[in-house]
Amino acid sequence: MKKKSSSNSVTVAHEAKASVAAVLEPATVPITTKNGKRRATKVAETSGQSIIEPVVAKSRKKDKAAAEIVKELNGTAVATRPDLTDPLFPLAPADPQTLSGFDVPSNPQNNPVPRVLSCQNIECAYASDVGRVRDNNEDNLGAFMALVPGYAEQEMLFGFLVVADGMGGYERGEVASQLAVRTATTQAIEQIYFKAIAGQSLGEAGETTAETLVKIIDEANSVVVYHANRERNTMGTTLVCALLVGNMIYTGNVGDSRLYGLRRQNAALEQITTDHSVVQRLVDTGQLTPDEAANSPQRSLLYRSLGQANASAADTTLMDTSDFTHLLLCSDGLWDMVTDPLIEQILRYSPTPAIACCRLINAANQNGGVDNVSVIVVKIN
Amino acid sequence: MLLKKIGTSQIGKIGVVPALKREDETTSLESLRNSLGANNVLARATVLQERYEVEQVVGYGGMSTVYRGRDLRFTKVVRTVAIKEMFDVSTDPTNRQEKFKLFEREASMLATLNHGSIPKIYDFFAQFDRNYLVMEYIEGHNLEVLLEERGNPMDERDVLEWAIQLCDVLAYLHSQKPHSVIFRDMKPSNVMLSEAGKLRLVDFGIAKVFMDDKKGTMIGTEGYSPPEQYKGIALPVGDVYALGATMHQLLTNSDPRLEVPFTFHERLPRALNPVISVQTEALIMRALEFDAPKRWQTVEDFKLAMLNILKPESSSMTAALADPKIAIKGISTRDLGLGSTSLTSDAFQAEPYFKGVPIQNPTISNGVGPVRSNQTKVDQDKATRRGDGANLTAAMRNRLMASSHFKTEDEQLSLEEVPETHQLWNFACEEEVRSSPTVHDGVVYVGSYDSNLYALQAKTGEFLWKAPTNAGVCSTPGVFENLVAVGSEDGNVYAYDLAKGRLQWTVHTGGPVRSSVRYQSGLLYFGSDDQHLYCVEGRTGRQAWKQRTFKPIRSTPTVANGTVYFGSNDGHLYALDATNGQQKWKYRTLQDVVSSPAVLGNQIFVGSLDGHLYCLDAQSSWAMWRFKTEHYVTSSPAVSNGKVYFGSVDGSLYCLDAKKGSKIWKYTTGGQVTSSPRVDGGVVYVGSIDGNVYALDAEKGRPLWVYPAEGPIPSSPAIADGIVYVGSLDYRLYALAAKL
Repeated sequence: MKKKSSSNSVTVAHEAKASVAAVLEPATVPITTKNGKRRATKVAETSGQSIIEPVVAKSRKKDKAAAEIVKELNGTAVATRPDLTDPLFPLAPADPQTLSGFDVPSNPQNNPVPRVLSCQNIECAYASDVGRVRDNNEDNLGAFMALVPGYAEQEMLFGFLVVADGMGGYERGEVASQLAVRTATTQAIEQIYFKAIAGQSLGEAGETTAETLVKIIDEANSVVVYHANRERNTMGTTLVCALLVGNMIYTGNVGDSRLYGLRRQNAALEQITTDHSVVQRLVDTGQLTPDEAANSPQRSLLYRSLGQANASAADTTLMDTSDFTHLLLCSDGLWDMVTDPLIEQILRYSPTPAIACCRLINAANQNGGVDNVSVIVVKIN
Repeated sequence: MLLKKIGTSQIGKIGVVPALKREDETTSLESLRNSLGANNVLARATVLQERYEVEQVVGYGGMSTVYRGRDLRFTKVVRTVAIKEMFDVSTDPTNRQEKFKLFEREASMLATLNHGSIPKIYDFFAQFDRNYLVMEYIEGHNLEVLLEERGNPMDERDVLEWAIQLCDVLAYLHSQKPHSVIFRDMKPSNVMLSEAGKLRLVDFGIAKVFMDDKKGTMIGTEGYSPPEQYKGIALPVGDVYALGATMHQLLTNSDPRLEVPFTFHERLPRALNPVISVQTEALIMRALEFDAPKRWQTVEDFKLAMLNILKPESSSMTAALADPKIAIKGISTRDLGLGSTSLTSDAFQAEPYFKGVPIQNPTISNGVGPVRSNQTKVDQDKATRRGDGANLTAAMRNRLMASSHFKTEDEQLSLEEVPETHQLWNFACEEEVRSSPTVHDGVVYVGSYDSNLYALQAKTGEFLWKAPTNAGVCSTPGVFENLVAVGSEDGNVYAYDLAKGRLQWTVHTGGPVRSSVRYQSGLLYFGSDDQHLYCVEGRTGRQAWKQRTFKPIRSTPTVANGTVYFGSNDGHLYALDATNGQQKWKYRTLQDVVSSPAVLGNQIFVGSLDGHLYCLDAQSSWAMWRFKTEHYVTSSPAVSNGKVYFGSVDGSLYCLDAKKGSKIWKYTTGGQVTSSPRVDGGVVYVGSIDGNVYALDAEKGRPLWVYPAEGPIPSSPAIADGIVYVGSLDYRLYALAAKL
């Protein structure tokens, strides 16, 4: 029952843990289309289908029943495949041709259904896909948003979004990423959200929120290290997270999963985080051009990740929510396959975050889908 | 994605053959291997090729296992061999075949090598879908294990002697014909130390032949590999780099795999382990040069330099420098963040490699390090003494004090080059002027320690009136509704009428009032040493509310968005509801908050005696960022154009990016900056305890003019109609031309 209480993690503190658990595993839903011409209609048919619980979703027979249960439980079911053909959401005239190409499901086996959360002026959708080459998904993601009762009738937004990309090939990368997402999310809720509700300050005297965020990532790191030691393997994971507190966004990053922002001022895509990859260092030090780096066979070689050392050495940044219209957290399966200009276009011209999610994943898969793709798209209204 | 494995050294690296003598260790290794799946490890007494009998697992890595085995061809004696087993993870048969050919070629090449520090290759073959290499069994431990066991840096002399041995074997490899062999994987875990003190190189990267082609793999190990290796270039100077990295790790016990790549120049050996000699540091850092042409070009050169250090007579670098071939020249300061002159040999002998950066705290970039600030304090004391003794003019003395700082701040314009502004008038009180002036409607109001509040004609300095209190006045007067109010050390706040200075009302508090008054929407806010914040009606002085803290309040309250913010000596910044004094939140810093907060939108800035400037989020009350200075921050921040300006007792005026808290510039004066900066028309004005008033370009921090007063200036300037007003401990209020 707990799991079926679903991903409606908005505003209710007590559901926090259940909700987090429910969103940890990427959703999968079978899509039966193969013929290109018929895809659009098939999509229309599947629109409105609500799938929440991944375990249920994997079994086709239970699809319908699951959808009904979810509707019953949620009232407003949150996990709905966006209707890409809906005329209410016309694409911007600038690039209808280019982008509509990404509206067709890209993975014949099972395309993910984005989940949607919204809170105050923030709308967020997230999805993860195995890609076209791998047979297991080592990515994990989590999203939590809630309102904190305010001091003077003013409610404060709290959100924690996280993407982790497990590493180690056969050495249980998916376990590492799941541990990291779970630990980071529960820690963020305990160390920040609960403190906010209680009106307490964070951590020790003089501690900044960014420092608290680093502690949270450190905790996730030590959990991964602990399990790696216990199972005697060398699993590891990247982690990128965004902590939304009121009007501020704090980002934390270890490894090469990225956070992008779309500037409100000029709608330009900006990479906020800096990868902890060797090629990025070489670019920074002028040894490689960005183009060389993008094609380097060692571009995924990381010098920092969770599960490798005693401290995570996470980088943090701090931004004003109002400076951005969109945020995007993603694993390298996206940015490795999809160019920045295309990401920018998709974010800019997709009417909802859920549609942007679908398009980004489809674009990655159409370009090869070599790695798992995970995206969290945040729209700031 | 595949991450190169690190941190597995406890159970042995690929190709490393640690001598495991205790039986239980072996058992645990085997059980570990077995736990990964049945048939993953060869059972004891398995015979390979009808010749090699497996005895036990001695090493294990992600892609290979090393066994101790026995060569059964020798029946009468026990001939022990190391058998290295490599898995081929590729499934494509042609791919596998190609890889076996490559393996064969590499093995054949290795078999032709003949050097005492390179293990002999006896045999190679493929069996059970796995590939095997039979080689000399080496007793001993690898240097990484030894370093971990020791837990401390290795002795300098040992490391140099080892490195010389490694240079020999690398030179042998590099001299191979027709192609020199580049080792490409020099690191402590690939070097075995026998009990006799002899080193052997193990793991010739042969296992990597079988590694998956998928992205993320490369030959070499992150942290040790030179930058050019990531472009697929392998040169002898690459091995020099890796050897330098190996020595760096052995001498500092800091693992380069856990650091940002290519940052050795930010982690100088002597900063991590001061025992190391300057010369050794210099030659390691030359090996670790980012650009290949700047390194030692051959291992022979490198070895020669080390031999020179080990020579008994050359305890200094002179010997090494005398030899032109190995002279240490052109040590780049590019990566050092100093960017100043390159070091000459003189400087080299006199100073440690990285001068100017505090050894204890390498993270402070360009900051005033503890070393430097101590030094300047001494200089300052000297200067002060000289100044007092010789009865210098204020200008000379101030310049002397200030210039003592510039000796170490080479990027800063010398004060000699900064023009002086001119004084329009000054007004002498009977005591020190610590209070900051307020200008209103052509009149400047200022308090003095002579217990009076003065009103002067702003243009001319002509005396209008003075109003007495019962003790010194060090707070800033506030003007509102035809009244001017000021707090006094006598514990009262007095309000006088603007025209004649007649007393209108008095508010009594239980302690000296050093906090200044703030007027907002008919209400007047101020703190007192009696630990309370008061809110009174401006017109009458009648109390609206008061709120208690736990230590004296000397910070001046700031009112914004219906909230009053102020600091208390109890270490908190308080946010109270401006109408009723109810606490909204408080934020705790580590020390007293004397500085007065500044508000910009959602951000609240305040300094603390813990040395930080804090930026708090008004909504959540949590710190968005904090910026560390080297001493107390008593100065109150000023906000302008997305930047925040404040002074620190460490002697500098700082300009930070208000959003990120990153430093844009800082300007170091000759004394503490307790005065609060004021920004007007793109110029920031501030006083300093060195006795100078400074006007700086708000964007760049470039000094525009300076004015030397006769005494220290803790008072904050006020600017109106092109005139800068500021008080000094020389009893005077100065009016200075804002523009030259």
